[in-house]
Parts: sequence; structure tokens; C-alpha cells
Amino acid sequence: MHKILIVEDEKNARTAITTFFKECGYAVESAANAVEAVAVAGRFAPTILISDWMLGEQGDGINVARRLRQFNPQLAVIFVSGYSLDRLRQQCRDLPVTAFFEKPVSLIELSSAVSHIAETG
Amino acid sequence: MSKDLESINRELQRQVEALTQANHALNHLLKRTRTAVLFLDSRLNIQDFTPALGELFQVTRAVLSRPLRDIIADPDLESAVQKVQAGGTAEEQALHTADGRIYMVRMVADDAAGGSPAGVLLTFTDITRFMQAQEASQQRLALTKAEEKRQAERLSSLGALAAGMAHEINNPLNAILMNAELGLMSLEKKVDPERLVQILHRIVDDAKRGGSITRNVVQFARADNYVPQGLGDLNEIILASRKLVASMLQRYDVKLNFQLEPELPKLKLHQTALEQAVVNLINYAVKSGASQVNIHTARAGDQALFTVSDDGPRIVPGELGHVFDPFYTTRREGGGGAADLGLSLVHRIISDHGGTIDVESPAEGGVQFRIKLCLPADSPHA
Repeated sequence: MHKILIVEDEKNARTAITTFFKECGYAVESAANAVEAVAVAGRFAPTILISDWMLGEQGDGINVARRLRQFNPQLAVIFVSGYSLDRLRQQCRDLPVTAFFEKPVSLIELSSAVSHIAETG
Repeated sequence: MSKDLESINRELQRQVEALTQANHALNHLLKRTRTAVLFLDSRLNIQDFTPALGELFQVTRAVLSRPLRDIIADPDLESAVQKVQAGGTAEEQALHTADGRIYMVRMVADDAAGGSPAGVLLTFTDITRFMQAQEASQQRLALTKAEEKRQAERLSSLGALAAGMAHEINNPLNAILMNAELGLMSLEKKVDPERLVQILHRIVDDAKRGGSITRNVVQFARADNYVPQGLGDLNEIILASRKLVASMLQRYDVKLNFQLEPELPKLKLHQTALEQAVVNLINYAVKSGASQVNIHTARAGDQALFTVSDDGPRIVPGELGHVFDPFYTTRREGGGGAADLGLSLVHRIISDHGGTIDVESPAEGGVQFRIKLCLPADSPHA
């Protein structure tokens, strides 16, 4: 079973995604910033990362993904961003990313991306 | 024989008359023509000129046999004339007169008199109106280009504002969408109604947040908000803003230091707007991880200098140009950054005061904002 780490600095969005994936039957943990994300990942060992790009003052989603892939090179990464995705795609050209979503993103869309990862690997 | 001589004589007289007539016609033409023409002899002295030239340079025939420089003192023209004479060629040169008119002078070597070296014939065509029209058209072109540049800058800052605003609004929209979906699923599953209430509250909160963002943007975009209203004391404003940031400084454990010029004259300002600018600059430093913020005022001639510097990490190279973009997250080394209207508003307030603001972030760390505001013309001298 896949373990999903949700990293989102917006509390209400974080709560909704976390609740949703838990109800879908996944093991889910969440973090509000980059530092917390790395700390949680240390004990939780996620297989899927769903992260916002901009995470405030302590680092962004790209930093988190790179760091986590050092421990688990198989980690599947899904990015969500409120900014245009062009700049985000440019900044993580050397990082394998399963899917990019522009906010507002539907839970149904996120769920299909996660199901796809679950089915293919 | 005498008959032959008579006919030759008649023929000669006829030709002399024809020549005299032609000479009269030529002189008449030269007198009547509005073209200013000047004949220089082989020594480059004035041999003759048309009345139009006399009027142009306010000279009478007393200048005949005098050198060119006696009526036109222009070393460039003189050397061009010498060049034309030496080369037997033609040349064109513009001549600016003391009364602001512009002439195109055409010079051509003229050996009509058969002398050696040849003389030079100069014609003066008034091109003042043409040149003025050309200058006006160039000015219009420059204005159009400047307007195009302003337009492009407006569009570019509008683009930056739109992108930033989209991000800010997309965040609450995202939370609204996700919670609404979750609410619908909860309804279908007939879960605890209390959970549905929580979800709906989250939706209400985010809808309100979206509303406040759009209100801020409208406030930011208003054109006449921050223009100076009267004379005020910049140092007092800086000190007054201390109260507004006190709790934040305590929470983040940041020290605020002042070095204020006591003799700084009063200047035209918008009190609350400048207070807001000071607060936003301190806020930026604190949120970027500084432990010390230094505020310094000084006078430099007819300007008040006002700097806010911090000891936080430096701004990531390449991001410095975006510092004042609305909602742009200007990252500082170590990942810090803030996406809001704070620094854009500072820029806006200073511009509305007719001042300038620039930012530096040296390699060794820290960020410094330098603001220049104009002192009133009647300020006491430093």
C-alpha cells in the first residue's frame, strides 16, 4: 500500500486532501512546511509526495522532493502550484515528476494521478 | 571687300547686342532671384553676390573683394570652400546662422572667368523649416517610442500583478474546491453532520480570504492614494512606526536600531502611507530571517536619504529585479521569502512621493533598501 505525504502550507487545503486520501484507504501524513516535511518523511518513509511548490519561508516543494528522493529514489512526486506551471517545470527539469497540477485542483484529479501511480508501480 | 567688312561688322554688332541682352537677362535674373548666390574669385575673395544673399547676411556691395570670413565667419565652411577649390569638385554643407536659421550651402568650383585657380560659387538654400519639421517629427517619434516603452512597462507590471494575484486567489479557491468536493462526498456517505459543519466553515473562511485579497488589490491599484498631503517629519514617522511593529519584533526576536539625522528638514509627505512603507520594510526584513534591522536617515543636498538594512540572508541572485513585483516571492538564500503586496506598496508609496527606491543585496549577506525623497526647495541649507 502506498504511503502519501501531503505538504501544503494552506491549512484548509491540507486538511481536505489529508482527510480525502485517508478515506480512500491510504496511509497519509501531512506537513505545513519544508522543514516539517523532511522531519515527517524521516519516520514515515512515504512512497508518494504531493507537495505545493511555494511553502513560505523555509524552502519550497522542489527542495523537499530532492531531499526525499535522496532517501527514496523511487519516490513518486506530484506538484501542485498556484503559479503558472511553466516556471515550476523549468526549475525541476532534472527531477522526475509524475504530474503537475495548477490550483485550484480537484481532489478527483489528484486521486486519478495517485491511482495511476498505484497501478503502474 | 567693304561690303564683306560691313556684313561682318553687322554680324558682330548683332552678336554684341545678343550678348548684351543675354548679360542683361542674366543680371536681371540674378537680381530678381530669391536664391542667395555668392561668387568667390580665385583668391577666394567676394567677387559678386545676389541681392538675396545681401539681405541674408545684411551686407552691401562694400564687401566686394573682401575675404569670405568677413561676411560668414565659419571655419568649417571656409575649409570646405578651400577643398572645393583645390579639388575642382562640389560639396554640400549645412550652415547654422546666429539668428537660428539653417542653410544648405552648395559649393562648386567655378572657372567661368578662366582664372587659375578656379573661383567658387556658393548657393544658400534656406532649409530651416525642413529641419524644424524633421526635428519635430523625430521628437514625435521619440515620444511615441517613450510612450510605447511606458505601455510595455505598464503591461509587464500588469502581467506581474495578474500572475501574483492569480496565485493569491488560487490558494483560497483551491481550498474551497477541495472542501466542497469533500463536503459532497461526506453528504453521500451520510457522515457525522458536525464534520460537514467544519467543512462548510473552512469554505466560508477561504471565500472571505479571497474577498479580502481582491479588496487589497483594488486598494493597491487606486491612483491617488499616497500623494503627499503636507509637510511632515520623516524621523518622527520612523519612530512612530516602532509601535506598529513592536509585537512582531518581540515574537521573532529581532532588534531595531536607529541612526537618524536630527537636522533633517521637514518634507512633503503622506503620513500614514509613509508609516505603512516603514512597517512593510521592517516586516520584510523580519520575515526574511533577519536578527537586526537598521534604519538610517541623512541629508544629501536637496534630498533626504532613508535606508533600511538587515542582516538576513542575501536575496538569491537573479531575483533582485523582482523584489518590487506584486505577489512575487523573491527568494532569499536559505529559502525565505514572502509573496504579498508589501514591497510593491512601498515602491508605489515612494513613487507617489516623487522619490526613488533601490535595493542591494551584497554577496556577504543582508539586504539594503535605499530611499531618496526630495526636500522642499525652501528647506534651510545643510
